[in-house]
Amino acid sequence: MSGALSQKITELIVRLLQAKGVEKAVVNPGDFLYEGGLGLDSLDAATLAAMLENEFKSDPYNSGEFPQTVAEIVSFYSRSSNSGPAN
Amino acid sequence: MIFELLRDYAKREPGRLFLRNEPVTAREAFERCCHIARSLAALNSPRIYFYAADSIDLVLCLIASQAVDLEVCVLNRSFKTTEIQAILERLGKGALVVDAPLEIPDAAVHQLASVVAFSHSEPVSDEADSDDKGAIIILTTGTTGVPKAAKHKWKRLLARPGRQRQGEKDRHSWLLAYPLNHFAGIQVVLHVLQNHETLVIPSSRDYGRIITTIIEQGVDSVSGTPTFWRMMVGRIGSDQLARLQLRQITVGGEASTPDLLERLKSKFPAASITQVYATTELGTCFSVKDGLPGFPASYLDRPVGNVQLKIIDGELYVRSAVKMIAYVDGSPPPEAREDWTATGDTVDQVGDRVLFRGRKTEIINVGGVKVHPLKVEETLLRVPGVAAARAYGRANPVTGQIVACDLELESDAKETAVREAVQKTCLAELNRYEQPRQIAIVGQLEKRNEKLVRRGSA
Repeated sequence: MSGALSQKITELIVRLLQAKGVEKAVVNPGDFLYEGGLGLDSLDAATLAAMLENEFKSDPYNSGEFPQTVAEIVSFYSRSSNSGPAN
Repeated sequence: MIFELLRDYAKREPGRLFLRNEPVTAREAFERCCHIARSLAALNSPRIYFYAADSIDLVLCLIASQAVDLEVCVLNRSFKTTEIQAILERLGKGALVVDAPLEIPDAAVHQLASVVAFSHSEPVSDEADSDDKGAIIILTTGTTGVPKAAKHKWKRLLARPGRQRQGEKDRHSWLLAYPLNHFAGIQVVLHVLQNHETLVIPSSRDYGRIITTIIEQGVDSVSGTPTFWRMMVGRIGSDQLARLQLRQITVGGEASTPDLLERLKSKFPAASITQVYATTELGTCFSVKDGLPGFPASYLDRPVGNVQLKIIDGELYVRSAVKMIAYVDGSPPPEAREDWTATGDTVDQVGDRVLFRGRKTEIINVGGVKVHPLKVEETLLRVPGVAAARAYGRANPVTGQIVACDLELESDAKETAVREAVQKTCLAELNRYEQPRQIAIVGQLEKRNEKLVRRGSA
C-alpha cells in the first residue's frame, strides 16, 4: 500500500513539473520539494495542495502541515487510517 | 407610459404585427390589453408576481398593469417553489399569477389563463391616462449571490428617446431572446413598442429551436448575452447560416470577449453589432457600435447620452439621470460617491480603450495578486474546441485562492487534445498567477438568464 501510495504521489509531482515545462522530471521520495530540490515555489505548492486534495480528499497543507520532502507527503497519508487513494 | 406606447402603436398602425408568431396585430394587442387591465385590477393586490413562461399573454399583462397602476415582478420561470416562497417573504406579499399548477402557502395564486380570459369583464377605458403609473420590480440575475430586487418606474425606463420611426425597410423583427424577468427582455419589448416594430417570442430556450424560429419567423434582430451568442453560434448548422438574415446583433448583460465579437463579425458580416452596457439598478447606460471590446476612453471625457462615466480605483462609476427608485428587498443601496454610482465592474484603460475585466466581487486573489476571471476566460475561449469557459477562485491553503476553471467543449472536440492545447495556451499567454491550476471538463456550464452562473467553489 505504501509503495502504491508513494508511486501515486510521485506521479502527481511529475505531472506538476511537466505542466511547468520540465520535460524529463524525475522524482524520488527523499527529494526536497522547494528551491534547492525540485524547485516548487508557492504557486506550485498551491497547485500540489489542490491536486492532492482532488486525489485523496484531504491534503497536508490544509491540515496545517507544510511538507518539506516527497516522503513527508507520503507519511501524512500513511499516518491517516482512512486516507487511501480515492480511486 | 408603456400602455400609451401600445395605444399609440395601435392607433397609428393598427394592422401591423406586434407579435408575429401567433400572429397578433397592434390593434388586437391593445384591445386585449384593455381587458386584461381590468382582470388584473380585480385581483385586488397592488403588487402582482408572475411566474410564467414568456408569452404574448405575459407581455400584455405587463403592459396592462400600468393602466391600472400596479407594481409587477416577473419571477425566473426556473425558480423552485421554495425559491418563489423565499422571494415573496423577502419582498412582501402580492398576488401570484402562474401558468402551471402551483401551491404556495399564504399566497393568492391565480392562473394566467383565467386572468387573460377577458370575455366576462369590461375593459378599462382606452383613453386611460397611465403616464406616471405603475412600476416594475426586476430581480438581479443572482449569478454571484442572492438576487436583489430593483424597482423602476416605467416612465423613467423610457426616459431615453426612441429612434425616429423609419420607413418599412428599416422596421425590425426582434427575437425575445432574453426572458421577461430580465431587464434586457423588458428593454426589447419597450424598443419594439417605441419603434412600432415586431416581436417574435421563441417557444423554447433550446438553441437549436431558437435558430429554427429565427429562420422560420424572419427574425432580423436579436439581443442576447455573450453566453447566448456563443452557444447559438456553436449550434448553427452549415446549411442554416445562409438562411439567418440578421442585420442587428445586440450584445449585453455580461462583458463581451474579443473572440466572440470576431466570431459574430465573421458569421454575420452584414449585421450591425451593438454592445449595450446596462445594469439592473441604472438601466441602459450607453452602447458601443464599433465592434471592438470595451468602450472608447473618450467616453470618460464627456457625457454619453444621459450618463457620465468615470473610473475610481479600477471600478466603473456612472452618474445617470435614470435609475431605479430603490431596492425593495431591504438590500443596502449600491455604493455611491456623491451622485456617482459604483457599477461593480472592474475596468482598465488601455490606450484609447476602456476594457472590462470582470465583476469586482469575482476578482480572484492568488497570493495577494489580483486575477480577473474574464482575462483567463478570454484566453481559454481562444483554444479550439472550447465552447464556454468559467474561471473562478478555489480556496487554497497556500495562496488563499488559486485559479480554477470549468470548460464546456464543442460536441466534436477531443478532451485530451483540448486539455493539452489549453495548458500550452495558458502557459504562453497568462502569467503564472493567472494560469488555471485546476481544469475540469463539464457537460454543460450552469447558466441563469443566459448568463454564466459565476459563484465559485471558494
